[in-house]
Amino acid sequence: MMWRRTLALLILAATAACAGSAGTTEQTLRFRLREDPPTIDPAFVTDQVSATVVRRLHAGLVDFDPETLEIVPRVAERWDISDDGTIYTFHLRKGVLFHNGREVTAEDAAWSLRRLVDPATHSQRAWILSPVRGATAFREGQAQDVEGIIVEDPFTLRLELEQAYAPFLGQLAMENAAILPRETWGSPPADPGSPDYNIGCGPFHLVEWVHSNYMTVAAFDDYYAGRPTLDRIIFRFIGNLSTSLEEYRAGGLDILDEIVSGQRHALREQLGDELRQWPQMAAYFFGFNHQVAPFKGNRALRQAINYAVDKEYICRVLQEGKDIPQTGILPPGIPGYNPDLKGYPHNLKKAKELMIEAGYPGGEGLPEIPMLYNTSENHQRIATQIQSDLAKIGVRVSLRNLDWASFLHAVEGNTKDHSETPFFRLGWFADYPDPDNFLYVLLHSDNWGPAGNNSLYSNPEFDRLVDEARSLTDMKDRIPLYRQAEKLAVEDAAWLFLYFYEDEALVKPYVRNFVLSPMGDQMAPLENITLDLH
Amino acid sequence: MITYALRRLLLLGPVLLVVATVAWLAVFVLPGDPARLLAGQTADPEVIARVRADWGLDAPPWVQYGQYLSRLAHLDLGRSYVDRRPVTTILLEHLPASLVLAISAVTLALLMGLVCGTLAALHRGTWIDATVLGGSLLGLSTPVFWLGLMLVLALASSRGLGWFPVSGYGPVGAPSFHLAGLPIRLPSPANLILPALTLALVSAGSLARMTRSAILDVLRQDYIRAARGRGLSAWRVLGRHALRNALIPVVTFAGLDLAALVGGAIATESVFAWPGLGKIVVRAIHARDLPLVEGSILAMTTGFVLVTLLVDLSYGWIDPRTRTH
Repeated sequence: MMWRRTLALLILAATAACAGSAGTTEQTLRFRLREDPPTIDPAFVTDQVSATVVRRLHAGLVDFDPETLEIVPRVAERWDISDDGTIYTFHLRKGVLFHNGREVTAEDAAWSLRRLVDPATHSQRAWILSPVRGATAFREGQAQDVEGIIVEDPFTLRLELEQAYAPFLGQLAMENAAILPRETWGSPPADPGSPDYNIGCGPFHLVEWVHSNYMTVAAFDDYYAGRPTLDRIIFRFIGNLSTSLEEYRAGGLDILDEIVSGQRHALREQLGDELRQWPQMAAYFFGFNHQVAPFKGNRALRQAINYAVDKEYICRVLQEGKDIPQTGILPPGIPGYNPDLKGYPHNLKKAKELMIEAGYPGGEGLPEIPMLYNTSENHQRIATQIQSDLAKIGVRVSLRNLDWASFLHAVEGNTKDHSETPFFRLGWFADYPDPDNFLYVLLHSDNWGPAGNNSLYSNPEFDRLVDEARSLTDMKDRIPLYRQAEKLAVEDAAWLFLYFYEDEALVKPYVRNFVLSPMGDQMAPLENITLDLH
Repeated sequence: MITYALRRLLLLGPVLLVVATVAWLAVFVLPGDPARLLAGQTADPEVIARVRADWGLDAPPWVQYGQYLSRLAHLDLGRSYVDRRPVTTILLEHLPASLVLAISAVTLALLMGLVCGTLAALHRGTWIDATVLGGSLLGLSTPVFWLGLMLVLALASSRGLGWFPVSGYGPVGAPSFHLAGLPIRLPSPANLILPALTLALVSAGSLARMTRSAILDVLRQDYIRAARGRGLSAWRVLGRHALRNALIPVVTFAGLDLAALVGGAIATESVFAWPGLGKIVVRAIHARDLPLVEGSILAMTTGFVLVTLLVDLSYGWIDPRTRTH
């Protein structure tokens, strides 16, 4: 009899395994994530995996339109900005509910923003509120409260800035500024991943998180913008890309957000339109350390290296037709992107001439340059190609491969002793769609070191232009200034420019309304997806 | 026997102290600042300093070591820097998956190894022997990562036979039971087969060779000739005398394999998205999640010592001559 019971149990398990597959009418999306989200607390999100989940569970005052990237209303239905650009008044929608059924008020918004900047929270993204009056003093423990966060009435919140700061709304649209119910988030439980704790006002609520395995979120029936068309999303954590692809092929995933290298051409042929590819606001480059030899003060050498490396080849062959050769700092799609910038197209003759100008004709007298990259097949391939390209102009490069932690440690040694790492891989994905997020963060001299400018690039005229641009509120006035600054940095050959990323995903033909956002998969509003299962 | 077991258990204390110290030192001297990683890709130095202070990473090394030992003395493995949960909870959460996989793989490997090794020994010099030796060499030299992917392609992929799930642990929403307040989930058999087979095929190669050589050795002994001379059937000689005496090296190997697989099936866990300990250890090392790395090493060491103790104790059952020693 025992074997019959076992058989019955196995059949039951197999039946359960089929639940939620594409064969049923329930709208359940199976989405792959490369690992468990490191956190689902909005205050701590700094990575794309966490953001993908947090954006499903939470909502803030404002948001980005995932396609146009304009700032659009979310919990705040509208806002006013004072003429001098220092006072933002947000008018909250009435009737927006948290997952626990309570209405969202301006007090919640104020509490959540205060929590983000509170030194006791230890958020890495507290800087989002730095422009707010009194936020820095509060963060540094010199004030009891943030002066500039003011609740005018239950549905009106006023934020006062120290001075006009154009990217502020973009920063508020980041997932870190989500509105949380203070009654649950005020006292953290033993398990920060518990559904009872992770209450928000987003389109989905957390159902279950089985660590290293999967996470399920379900539609929030009372979501203010209407119940999502999807009933559930199952985030499956599958790190291995070959396995992910086979899982997708076998029908265990509806969307696969990453594709194993070497398969793109075959997949285009086999799966046709299921492979989607679109420009992303992100750049891949190698940083020069501007404060050490041989790059310090030697613009001709930096330019020679830029001309010597064949970016077209890297994109077309190594990246299998993915990604776009980088011609400037700002990627396509971001306000201020300058299509007229030509960057450094492959030109060996020019590179050799510049080597003479740099004082190293044919590489003579130039010591071998160590080049660092963090462990990844892709980085390895690209670094090897750079090494081979540079050998043609006499620049000898030695490759050093480190894991991420050791890599950061080595790169950031720069700020202390300016000596450890002259040449290293870097990449940047936009936090918010504003030119400031590239130009200020990555190249302004106030941001030297881990804050973003790892190249230790410094150009007073560049700094002046960016400072002026970020104090203006009208994007039309800011763009010319950012463009001038960008042109300076390109002429200075601030980095070895390589490519602007393109995002890619495999999407099953029955998945409708999957938005290809230039900000990445995490921005795609999965709540609007429908599965055409018939 | 009980005294011996107790003595071995008492030795666990000093072993763990040494391992704890080595684990702490190894993690401590690794380049890379955990606070830097926790602070995110762009973080100003004040934020990094604050994170460092929050986790006590700004204290002098000997103070950090002292705090670490004091925590251990209270059986507290600390909290993970990354997901901010107790390390013990994380380890217990992932332990069942690792245990089930390791036990299944070793059981399967033992079955395959014993059967093939015995057949090879009994048919020494024939095609059966050659096939077993060749097959075991293939199993031994095949990278587990590659073997796993091949099994997926052949038996699970939509381009193959599609008999098994490609990856995962079981159906979403499958019920769990609670043990000491922790939800415990068991895998579905369909999900377990391929990862267990992957590990088993690699281990079975060694076990088959070991069984073959041990049986050949035993079959040459006088007492086997005497048993045959007394007219015992070939199967009885094999079952009662040869196999049992040949088991000791096989059981030792299988025991060590079991202990190693609990935390060390990293490649297999990666290929099959299996939620075991190996996966979290690798992730913890990359993230410089010191408490989780240290806790995992200690847990694995404890497991290793306990399994080897069980193996040692099993010798007495397998070979009564060892009981007096």
